[in-house]
Amino acid sequence: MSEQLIVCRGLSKSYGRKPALSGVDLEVGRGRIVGLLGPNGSGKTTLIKLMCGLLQPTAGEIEIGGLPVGVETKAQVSYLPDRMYFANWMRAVDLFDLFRDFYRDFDYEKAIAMCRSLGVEPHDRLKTMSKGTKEKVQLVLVMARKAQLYLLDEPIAGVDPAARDFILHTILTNYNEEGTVLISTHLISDIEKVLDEAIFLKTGKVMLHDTVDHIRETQGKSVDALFREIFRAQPLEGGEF
Amino acid sequence: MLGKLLKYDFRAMWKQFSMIWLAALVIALINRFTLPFNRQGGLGTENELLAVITISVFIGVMCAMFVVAMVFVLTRFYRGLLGDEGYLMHTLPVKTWQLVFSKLVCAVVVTVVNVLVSFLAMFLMMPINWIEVFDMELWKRLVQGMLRQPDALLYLAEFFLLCVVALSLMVTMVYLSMAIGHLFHRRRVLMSVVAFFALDIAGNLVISLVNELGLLGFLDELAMWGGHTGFWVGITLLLLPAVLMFLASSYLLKHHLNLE
Repeated sequence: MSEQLIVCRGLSKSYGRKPALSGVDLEVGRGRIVGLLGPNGSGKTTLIKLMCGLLQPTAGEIEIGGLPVGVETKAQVSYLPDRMYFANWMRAVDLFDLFRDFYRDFDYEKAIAMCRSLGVEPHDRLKTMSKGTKEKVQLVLVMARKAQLYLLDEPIAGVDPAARDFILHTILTNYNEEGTVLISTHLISDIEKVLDEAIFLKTGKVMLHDTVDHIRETQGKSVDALFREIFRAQPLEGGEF
Repeated sequence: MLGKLLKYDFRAMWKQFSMIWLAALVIALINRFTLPFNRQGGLGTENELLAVITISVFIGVMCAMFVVAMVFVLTRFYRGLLGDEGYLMHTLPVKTWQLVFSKLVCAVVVTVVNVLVSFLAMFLMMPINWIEVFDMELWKRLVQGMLRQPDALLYLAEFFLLCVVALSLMVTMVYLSMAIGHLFHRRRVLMSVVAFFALDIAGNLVISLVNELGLLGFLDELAMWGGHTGFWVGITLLLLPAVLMFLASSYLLKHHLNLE
């Protein structure tokens, strides 16, 4: 088993002529909760999609558990995208059947139990569910797996603070502790308390990658405060308000 | 894993088509009793009107069935692999060619079943004496006739295979067009349409080139050797580009997928 779970070397991705990631070098170990932090457009979603194989790098390489992204790594990765990805005619239990068929680490009973605790009726059709309920179903699908790597793309964006706590609680009480959770967000204050490490992304580059404890110790401030300092709005590339 | 993918693609197909297939058969059965040629003696004005209505509904359902099938073939690939559902399909631990193959099988099956349902519906509409249909003597004579001409069944099977391969070629060409369109960052649908026409032109150029080299004459001679050879030459000629387009689509999705 590879010591580092995620390894990126010189990873770059451009959309046409517009670079989204530029020469990212990154190593993330196992059993960690890592915040992938950065403002909108900093490359968080791009990096996660590259890890899932939904995007192909323009340059560089990426390995999950010592393997290039492919069928084997997809079996180890549990991905929560920033959008709904299922057909509306399905019921939550249909999706659980699908996940049980394809992922050996999917726990069907746990998924049903999670649905009950989240107030979701698993036999309802998805088209009858509200957006929030569908998001819960998607969260259940991801967290009912005993994955090596959880990639959660903006799981708390667009929901009220009470729901954020609820989602974070669901994540923290259900993830595989031997695995790593990578959470992308720009809402630092909500997740800072649960993070082991933080990765700051700015315009497609890694600005900082350190443990949260070390950041607090050396910087003398919280991760949220440091984030606000680094990413203070610069409307015209360094211009003043 | 391919079997599991097929299971979910067939389930989506059944969800979309079960009602329309059932409707086609039920409306055909209704037409069996309303169409004038199915009745003894003349029909009143009211019944003629009813016949016009039921046959119009039948034609409408049949047209809808084929339009929905065409849309289904396009969207199962585009939305399922290159749209939002692609976020699920491409993160499943399966090989890319299996994803494409599953969609292809489903597209071919839905078209074949559509044709079968159409035949069955027309059969149901005919003024058939069902007692004759279930006459064992008739079936016995039919089987005996077939046994005297065993080639007939083989010809039928070859013709069916030829149709399936031709259909697969059409579907893989559409898939490849969409995969090529997906390489562009903007106007992907438009570029898919352009790619489709470009592939069509390229195909015609290849046929012209083959003709120039005198290979078509050689293939004609091959086909003249016997009826079966003709079918197999046709099947091979259609299968070759279908396989190439399938492989090209799978390659593009594996190495150039960009779900932005």
